[in-house]
Amino acid sequence: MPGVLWLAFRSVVNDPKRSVLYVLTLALLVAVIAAPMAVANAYSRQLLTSIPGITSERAIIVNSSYTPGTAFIDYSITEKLRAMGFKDQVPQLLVYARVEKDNRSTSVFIRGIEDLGSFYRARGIRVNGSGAEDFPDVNVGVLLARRLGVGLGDVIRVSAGGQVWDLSVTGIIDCSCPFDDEVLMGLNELWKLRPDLENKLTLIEVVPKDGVDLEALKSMEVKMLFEKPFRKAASTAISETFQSIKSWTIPLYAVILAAAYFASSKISAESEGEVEVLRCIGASRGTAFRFVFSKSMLILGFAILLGLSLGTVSAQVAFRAISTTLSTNFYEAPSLTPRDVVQVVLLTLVSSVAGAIYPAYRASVRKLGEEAWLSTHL
Amino acid sequence: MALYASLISFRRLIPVFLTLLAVSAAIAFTASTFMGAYRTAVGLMGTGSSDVLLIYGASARAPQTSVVPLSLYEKLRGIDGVEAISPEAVSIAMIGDEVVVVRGIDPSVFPEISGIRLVAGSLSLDGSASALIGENLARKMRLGVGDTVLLRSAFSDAFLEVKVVGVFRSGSYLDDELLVPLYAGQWLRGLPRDAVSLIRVKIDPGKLGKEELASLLRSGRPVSGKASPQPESELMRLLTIPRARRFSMNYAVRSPEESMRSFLERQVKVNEVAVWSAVATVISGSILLVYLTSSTMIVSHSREISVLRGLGASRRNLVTRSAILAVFSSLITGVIGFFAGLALSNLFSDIGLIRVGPYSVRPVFDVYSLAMTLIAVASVSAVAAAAAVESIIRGDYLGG
Repeated sequence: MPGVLWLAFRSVVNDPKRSVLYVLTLALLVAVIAAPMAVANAYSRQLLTSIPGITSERAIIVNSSYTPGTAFIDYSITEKLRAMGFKDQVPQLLVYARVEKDNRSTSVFIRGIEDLGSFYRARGIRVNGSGAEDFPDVNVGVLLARRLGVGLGDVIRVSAGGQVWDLSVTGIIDCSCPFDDEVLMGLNELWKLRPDLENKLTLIEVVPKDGVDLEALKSMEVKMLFEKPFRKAASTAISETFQSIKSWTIPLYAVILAAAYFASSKISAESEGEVEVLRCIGASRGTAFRFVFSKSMLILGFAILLGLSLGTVSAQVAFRAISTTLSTNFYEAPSLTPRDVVQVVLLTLVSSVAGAIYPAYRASVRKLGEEAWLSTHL
Repeated sequence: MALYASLISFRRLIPVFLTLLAVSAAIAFTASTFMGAYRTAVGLMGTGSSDVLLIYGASARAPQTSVVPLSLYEKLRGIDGVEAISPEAVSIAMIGDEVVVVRGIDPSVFPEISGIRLVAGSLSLDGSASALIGENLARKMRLGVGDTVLLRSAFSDAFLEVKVVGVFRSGSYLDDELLVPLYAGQWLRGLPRDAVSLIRVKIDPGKLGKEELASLLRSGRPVSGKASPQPESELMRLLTIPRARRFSMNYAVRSPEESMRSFLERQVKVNEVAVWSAVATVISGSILLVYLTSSTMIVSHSREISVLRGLGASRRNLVTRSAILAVFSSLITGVIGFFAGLALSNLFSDIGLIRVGPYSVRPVFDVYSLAMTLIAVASVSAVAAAAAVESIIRGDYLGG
């Protein structure tokens, strides 16, 4: 095989004009794939670098198979979390309910929170009136109060889980947050209203410590979701957008396949004389096939190298110009990741081998001395 | 020509046709995908109606990231020619690991101004625990009426559990969004109750123009042009704050498309030229292949051409007929390839492979890209065919 490869290499370099044409044909197509990928990588990195570091110190812990309204966690888990180092836990139960006042009604969440007063203080939530620690006292959000015309001391009728309760409004909350449109009460009081959900929680707000053992959480069948996941949301949106450019390259490999087929057909036709000489001096058909196939693969190898370089360099020139106009402080040079290189090389190889095999096979099975076979035949 | 055509072996031309088809499809796929992505981005605030304008902060990077005071709503109610006012709070939230654009709206105005149509459930947003979901998003997230989701705001510490009460279709970017009441959008965006992202207004073009509206907002004077102000919606009555802050700021008044085009040009440095550059890159990259293919098509008939030459056919005649054959072949394969590329682009869009952030891209059929594809492939083919005939006549292919 090395001998055949050497012969193929000599044959390729001995006909530089045609070889360069084939190499360029394939290399340009590889460059068309590589250049946008390199630009997409640079743009993506540049945007990720410029994302402001908005983070939250809080997270919520929910059932790992979280289906809102149906998947609960057991209250006993709070002890385990405390033992794991989670501080400032706020266990909460959310119950979807119908709330009525006079002839007006709406559907809202009733949120049961453990130690409601401390929670308000910790969050700096203003309450017009007093808290709601004892049954049947509740606090309502300002928007819900306006919607139903509820005032301090009013009684609202709440229906959920097939039961109906009359609850007394002792405070109105105004926090520009989701509580503005909810009914809030103590966790124990909500359990009294819904005994079927006793010791059940919808979620626990926590301040996570560093180095949380996520496996331990998984074994407890819960998962932790950070609040304010801005960075994650931004990076997901950016990667989805730039992944589209990589998806766009997929059909282009069909063009590479076609190019490889044509280049190989031409190569096999032009190698007719060499194949005949090889066969005349006793080379098998397999050797003839390997000779023609090696020539195609050598051309392809040069094309991949040239195409990747051409693509990256042209991407750098174009992106430098764009970045100058963007006046960015986060310039990132376009480049291909090792994964991109492997992907381009592998897919190009697969396309090209698929395109080169048949012409090489035809060249090897051609009968010796067949005059009719023109070098230009497909 | 009939004799010439009878000498052509169409079996030998199959690989040629397939290659030209693949090249045309690749060019069309690129054009429809990139143009689709660009038009999707440009149309992100549009409603398809020419009498709808966006009002947002002039210094904001994009309408979606702007913050304007809700007191502007009061001012707009009094302007003659303003027919509908839709304040909106645009936010980003996560449902599990998926990014979703959540738009806080006034449900009594937004359906009319945006042209959304109900597919399932109801359009009634009854409280912060309810949401309307766009058709594409519902399909992507496998959500339907009655399902509940937990929204984690990307901008604030708010997390919100909402129940899907309706699925809608708009034929626009809204099909990839989740709609919630305005105040829920404010919580998720981290805005106070007296601020929104932008205000969309429907105007009567006969009474009020864009420039006139911009000038009225710039003047800062109280407006007294309307005999009876636009009625305040139920939701806006909830949000009204007696002593709402009055910000002094400059507003941009633009059509939705104009505002997004301006954002893309100023901030992202992307315009239609950039899109066509991508198409031109694919065309340039394929030129040698088209050349090689078309010359192969002619060279594979070198014997026939040599015979015709021997029988007295003129050089000009052979070159012309070969070029016509090449152009004809490329036009046929070009048109088929163009529609194949468009179909492929639609397929990629449908399975979610081509997206602009959380939005699906709708591929664009562009007559210019069809013309560009055909001209590029046909002209290169014609040149290649002519050159191949010349070389055959010169005797480059004699004797195999």
